Parts: sequence; C-alpha cells; structure tokens
Amino acid sequence: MPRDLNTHFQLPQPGQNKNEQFSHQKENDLLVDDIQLWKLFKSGNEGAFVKIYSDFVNMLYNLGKQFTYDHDLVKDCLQDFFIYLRTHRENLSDTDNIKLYLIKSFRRSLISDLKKQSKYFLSESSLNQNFFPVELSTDEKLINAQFEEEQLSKLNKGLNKLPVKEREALYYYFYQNLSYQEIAHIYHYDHISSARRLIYKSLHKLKELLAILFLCIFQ
Amino acid sequence: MKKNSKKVIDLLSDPDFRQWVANPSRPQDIYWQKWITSHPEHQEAVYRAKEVILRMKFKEDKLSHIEREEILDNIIASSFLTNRKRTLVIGYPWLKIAAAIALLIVIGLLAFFKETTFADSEIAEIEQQAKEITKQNGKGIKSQIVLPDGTKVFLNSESQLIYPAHFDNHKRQVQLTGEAFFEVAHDSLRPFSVMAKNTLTTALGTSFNVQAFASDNNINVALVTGSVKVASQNKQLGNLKLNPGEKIMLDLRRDKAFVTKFNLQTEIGWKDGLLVFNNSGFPDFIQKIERWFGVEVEIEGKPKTQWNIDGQFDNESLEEILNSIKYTHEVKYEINDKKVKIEFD
Repeated sequence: MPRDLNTHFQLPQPGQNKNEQFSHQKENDLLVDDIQLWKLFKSGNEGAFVKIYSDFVNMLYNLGKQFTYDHDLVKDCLQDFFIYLRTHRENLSDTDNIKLYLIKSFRRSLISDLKKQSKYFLSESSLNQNFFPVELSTDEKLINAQFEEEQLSKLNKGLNKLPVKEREALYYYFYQNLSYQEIAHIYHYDHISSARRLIYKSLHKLKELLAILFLCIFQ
Repeated sequence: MKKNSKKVIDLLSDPDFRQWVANPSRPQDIYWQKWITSHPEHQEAVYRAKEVILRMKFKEDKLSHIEREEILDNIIASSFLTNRKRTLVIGYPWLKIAAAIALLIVIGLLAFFKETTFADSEIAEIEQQAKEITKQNGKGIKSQIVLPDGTKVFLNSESQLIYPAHFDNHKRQVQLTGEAFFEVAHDSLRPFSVMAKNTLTTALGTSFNVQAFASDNNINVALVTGSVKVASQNKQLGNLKLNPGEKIMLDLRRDKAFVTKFNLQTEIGWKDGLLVFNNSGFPDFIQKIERWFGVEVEIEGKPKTQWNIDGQFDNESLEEILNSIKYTHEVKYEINDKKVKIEFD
C-alpha cells in the first residue's frame, strides 16, 4: 500500500471537513486506516460513507472522464455506483486499500455501462480509441518553441497510438501514482512484474520519439 | 544517445523516482542528489525523465462542489428507503415476530367479530385499485387529463391513455397509444412510467412527450425537464437516459435508436394548439391535418413541386391553413364537414 494513502486518512482537516453534518460520531472516530474505515462503512456507519465519498468522488470522476467525454454519463454512473455500494454494503468484501477497491469496481461498472451504450448508440464519445488521451505539454519558455511544437505533436500522436491498455496503465502509474502491485491487481495479473513490463513496454515504444524531443529541449 | 534514452526509460519506470518528481520530500531530495553525484554520467537522463513526468498531461476534469453535493444528495435520498427496510427486517428480528403475532390477533378478531364488513371493504379497495380508466380521443380531439397522483397529461388526437383509478404504493404506470405530453407530479418514491409499444419511459418528476402512434414504426420520446430512462422490451435496443432538450427516436422496424436535440415548439407545440410543420413533405402534411382536424382528405392529381412546408399555425382553422398553402403551392380545396378535397391543376 502506498504511503500517501495511509497518511491521507490520518490527517484531520478541521474547518473544511463536511463529515460533521452527517456523522453523529466524534470526528476522531473517523481517523482510522482503510481496513477500519471500510469495516465501519460496511456496518452501516454513514459518516464513514460520506468520508469515503468525499475523498474519492473526484478521483473516480476523473477516471471516468478518461473513458468518455460524456459528463452526464460519468455522473450518472458514479451515482449508481455509490448507490450500489450502499445497498450492498453488508456483502462487500473487505479491503485494506479503498482507493484501489473503488478504482477496480468503478472501472468495471463504467465499462459495462459504456458497452451497453456504444453497442446501439454510436457516438464519438464512446469509441475506445479515444480512451485515456494523453499528451506532453509545451513549455513556452523555450527559444525554439516552433521546432519543439512540431516534435511534440509527433510525440503526442505516437503517445495516443499506444494501445488503450498501455495508455490506461500510464494513467494509473503517472497520474494516480499507483504502484506496480496495484496496477497488477486492477488488471488481474498474477505477477507484479507483468505490470512493470507493461509500463516499460509502452515507454520503450516512445523511445525514439522521446530522443528527438530531447534534442530540441536540451540544445 | 541510445544509452541515455534507455536510462531515461529506466528512471521513468522506477516508482521511487516518479514519487520524488511528483511529490518531492526532503529525504528523497537528499537521496537523488547523492545518486546523481555518484552517477554523473546519468545526470542528463535524470533531467530528461523529470521533464517527461512533469509534462505528461491526462484530462484534469473535476466535479464542481455543487455537483458533488448534488450527487451525494441523490445517493442518500435513493437509498433511504431500502436502508430503513433493511434495518427493520435484519436489525430487529423480534419486530418481525411481534408483527406476525399482531397480525394473527387482528385476523382472529376479524373472524370473531364481523369478518364480512371488513373483508368487503378490503375487496372493494383492491377492486378499485385494479380498476382501469381509459381515455380515448378520436381524430381532431385533444384533451387534458389529471391523473390520481396530480400528474397532468395532454392527450393528443387519435390517442388513448389507460391508467389505474388508484396508483399503488411503489409505482405509477400508464399505457399509451398515440401521443401525450406528461407533466409528472414529483414523487421520488414512486417512479412514473409510460408503457408504449413495448417501450417503458420512466421518470421521477419531469415533463416529457411520448409519441407512439399505432400506424408509425417509430416511437419518439422528448424530454423537456428532469430526467427519464427509456427502456425498450426489445433487448437489442436496451436502456438509455435522456437529458433535457434531447429526444430519442426508436426505429422499431430496424431496431435502431437515435438521440437528437429537438425543437420545443415542433415537438410539443401541439398541446398549446400550435400546429407546426418543419420541412414537411406532402404525405406528412396530409397526415398531420387529418389527425389534427379529424378530417379525411381526398386528393386529386399530384403535387408538381416538392413540398417543404415550414410554418406554425397558432390555433388556426383548417380553412385558414389551406388558404395560406393555396397561394404557394397552386392547389384548390373544398371542405365538406369532415371531408376535404385537395385538387392539383
């Protein structure tokens, strides 16, 4: 489990903590680790639910938006997803990593919703070539900005030609700061090294493009 | 150069390095500084790898504070009922037993005293619930209906609505053939749904139009406010949620669905007496006036030019409409009560 997750739950945020209005418990009761927080939620504690919701709703929304441009669709999926968690709370399995648990199950429910939609409602938002768009941004401070921009657009085309799965893995790795172990878990890999290989493979494909880009950035 | 890019990729795929670039901390600074000093040949690779991480951008979309609150409100509201029920059954088994005993006592008492009166009134209630009301409009007739829950329905001509005299506690369902506009009374615990041509449109508190004439191969649902879910019994067409301003057209012959934006007046103007033609061809024009005025049109000859009628007629008579068409399309007409004759020269 990554360090930042642990500290996340131990830092009280007085003032901006919205749990107070829903929870009848003392705020201290919520300063627990993932295992305890999840158990509290499962046992029906609404303060624990609101804490989980407030901590992760934006992270999940961002994940959803990587799959589609349809803002309302992601919002609806999120709402249905949390309603599902609440109504089935007693039967959910235990976890020591709530972020990972939510990513994994939200990803599954979102993909199944998207599949239902794109099968019969062909809209550009649901075509999976567009999943996880990524780019390297320009730096305006550079002198030969125009040359750089040309190289960058080549590189970005290359980035977006990577298979969706590799772009998705780059997203978990660089954007969500997930560990190889966590990425392996999302993809149901048996070995952590498979996740590492996936990242390495996708970076390796960009090697030449990166090399050209460095030529202009570091001259 | 080659060796260098390999080192860059090694660094990029090193979680510690990524962590340091994304969220630098004092101890990590010290470690990487020392690492660079002992591997001066990799100094450039470190800068490059750092550059890539800092510049790599995915979509940054976030929900606004209001949206986060709104979703949370919906979640809590929607699971309130199920949760209460659950605690009642699972949390308090003795309550179940108590309820069962109470029920037995009541039944016993009923049997002992006057079973007939109670039973009769109960049956009457069930009968009343099962009783269905049918409202039917012929050609040329439009009506307004207020359902038992307060929902307002504008029923178009040549349309039929069937609804129960009393809605039950869990759902409000009506059956439609033809076209109707619904202004649904808000009741979040009892979703309101319209069954038309094997397609179920479900709403909470919302206004929407359903067009499902028996003679058409399409069903159209246009959403004005709120949100609705359209589900076809035809599994191929599946489920879809509409947003306000969106209209779904289910093509039942080809099993296809299309979502488009719609024009409010074209789609729903009919309920306010607005007859709208939007690029209507001749057959469409005739079908619309037949439905609207409840007339039968007889046609002699054929239109010479392409008909693309655009226009709105606000509570105007058939004569007024035909008069305005007469000049642009060179037609003669005759109206004999419910029969209309249109002649082309």
